[in-house]
Amino acid sequence: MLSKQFFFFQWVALRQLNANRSKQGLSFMTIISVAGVAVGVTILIVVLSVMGGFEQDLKTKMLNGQPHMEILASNEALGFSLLDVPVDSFQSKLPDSIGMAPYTQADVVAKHGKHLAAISLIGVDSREDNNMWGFARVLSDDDLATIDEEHSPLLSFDNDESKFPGILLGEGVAGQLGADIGDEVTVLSPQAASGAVIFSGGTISRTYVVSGLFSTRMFDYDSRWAVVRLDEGRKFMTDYDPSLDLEKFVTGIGISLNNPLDVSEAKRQLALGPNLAVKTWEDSNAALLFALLLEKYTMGAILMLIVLVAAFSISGTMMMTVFHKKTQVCLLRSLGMNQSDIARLFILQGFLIGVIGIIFGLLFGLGICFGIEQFRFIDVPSSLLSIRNLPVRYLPLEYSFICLFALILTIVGALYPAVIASRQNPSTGLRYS
Amino acid sequence: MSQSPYMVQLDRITKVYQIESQKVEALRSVSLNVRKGAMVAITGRSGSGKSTMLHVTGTLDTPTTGKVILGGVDVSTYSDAVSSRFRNRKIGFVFQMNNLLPEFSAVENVMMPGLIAGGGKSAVPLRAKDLLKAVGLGQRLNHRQAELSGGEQQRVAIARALLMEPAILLADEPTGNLDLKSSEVVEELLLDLCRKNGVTMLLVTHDNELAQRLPSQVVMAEGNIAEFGGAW
Ligand SMILES: Nc1ncnc2c1ncn2[C@@H]1O[C@H](COP(=O)(O)OP(=O)(O)O)[C@@H](O)[C@H]1O
Ligand SMILES: [Mg+2]
Repeated sequence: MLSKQFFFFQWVALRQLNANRSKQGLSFMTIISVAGVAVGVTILIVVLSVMGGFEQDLKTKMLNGQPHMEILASNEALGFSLLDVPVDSFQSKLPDSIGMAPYTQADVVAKHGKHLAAISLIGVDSREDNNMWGFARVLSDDDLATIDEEHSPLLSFDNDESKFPGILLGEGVAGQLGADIGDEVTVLSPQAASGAVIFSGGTISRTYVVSGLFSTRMFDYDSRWAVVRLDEGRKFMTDYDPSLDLEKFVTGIGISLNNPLDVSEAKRQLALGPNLAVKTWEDSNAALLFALLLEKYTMGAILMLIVLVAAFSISGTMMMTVFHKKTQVCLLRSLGMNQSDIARLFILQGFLIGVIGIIFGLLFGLGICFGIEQFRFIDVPSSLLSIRNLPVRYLPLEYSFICLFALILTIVGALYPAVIASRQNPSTGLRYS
Repeated sequence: MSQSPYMVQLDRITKVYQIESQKVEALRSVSLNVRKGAMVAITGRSGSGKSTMLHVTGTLDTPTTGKVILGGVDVSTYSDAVSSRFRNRKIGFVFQMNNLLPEFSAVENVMMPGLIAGGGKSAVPLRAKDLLKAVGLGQRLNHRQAELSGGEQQRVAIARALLMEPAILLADEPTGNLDLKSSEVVEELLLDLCRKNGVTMLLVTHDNELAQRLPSQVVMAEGNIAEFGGAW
């Protein structure tokens, strides 16, 4: 019964909706209802797409800067020996890996003349493929290899044999220090234990010559990072003593993945021993990622209120129709339509209003997104983003959800008028005189 | 339908409308038996309960008390879905005005009961056209309400009322809004087609002359039948 007559009801509903055009008041209300749904859907699509764009930009930053995965000691600061935990031991476990290299990392202070900067000192082996690090992606192999060169001090005495190794600075760090290529920069470790000072004689402060600058175009990295040779970096690890050099101690092993979005799967595959831990890019950015997610859902829910208001307006419009078309509803009843047939007619009209509004909303929303993408409406400061115009990301899944929800809301809006219309006593609309 | 000789039986029908605290007794124990194929004119002053009786008979409204038996079956106990289906198949209506759905053409209006019934629809458009020809509107198939005169609208309504080959036709002052000339055309068609199709007809009218042309008459007063006339 339902399927057989489905098109008949659509036909009647569409005809009646269309016929409203001739009656000015009703047609205006219907247009407002459709427009309300369309505006709600448009705004939802645009806002979520731009938010998605920012999110993607941020994720790109996260994915292009730091290693997608880091294998660390359970006590991060202590590090581990590559003799105990060779890099090769992970290769077979991680088929998705496209790069693996050891590194050291220490939070230190850099000094150049009167200028100080708090930096993150990363030690890498320039002979390895360090593609998991943002700086290695923007530097050529030769540029990276300059950290291995030994430089004579600017001021030296005849019998002074000391040489300074190279250091690469992020552009932001160089700016803070006022340092340029060829300048000497002193690195001080505030965390070096007092014991280490005694044993190692001078780890607390070492001098490097700036051998190059890099710009990853990501502000937080360029303003924080400095890169030195792996064994130089090791000297700033907690509890350093010369035996660590023999044992090849490192802070961790950085890994880059072919599919960084599947990092949790890769993490599961690793199944590390008791003294090791894995930190993924999602772990390091958990708070931010959660904030983004929360923002997305909150924003979606708030903007859905526009569609909710539109659904109210549909409800109101249809209530007017119910009274306006009372005679015709009763006439259809006299011709054999039952209560649920009448309800179905009105729900179908709400459905049609919803679908038309949603189609317009989709068209406008996608059009605006496309416009934002193509034309630069707003200049975004380059320090904030790695790109200059508003980012847009198309989110088919979210769009489907928006459309579905808008449709449900409009149908729910039509429900009450439909029930009222179907409950009318057919006799009352068919009396004259 | 059963073997009962009566098509319409009203058994002590009362209808009370409650408006706030005030009760209006529109029908006070009306009983009436109408044989199959009979044509009954119902007259009476305005407010005497003619329309109410017609609507209750046609299952558009339910009686407060009493039974409505159509073709031997008590329809007053039917659910909405069943009585709607019954209405669709067995009862044709012609009202005083606004009979047509303005969004639909004449032929679509005539087809409507057939479309509501669903099922084998292929015969419906053909029969609708034939009926419109029979009421002299073969040339106005695609005209809408706004493009048809009052008399023409009533003729479309008659064609529609007969589409499903109903057993009962209920007409509530079908000529009440027409000028004399169109009235005559509509009356003629209505009587002629009902007679030809053997339809049992109840016709409410103000027009005594018309009432006298029907074989049986009922006069209503204050919610009850005051007088029977003609053959029963
Ligand atoms: N829906 C209603 N609510 C209250 N009173 C009604 C309603 N419909 C009809 N009536 C009353 O019932 C009485 C009979 O009305 P009706 O059957 O329309 O009379 P007629 O068709 O003979 O003019 C009238 O007094 C009318 O006011
Ligand atoms: Mg009346």
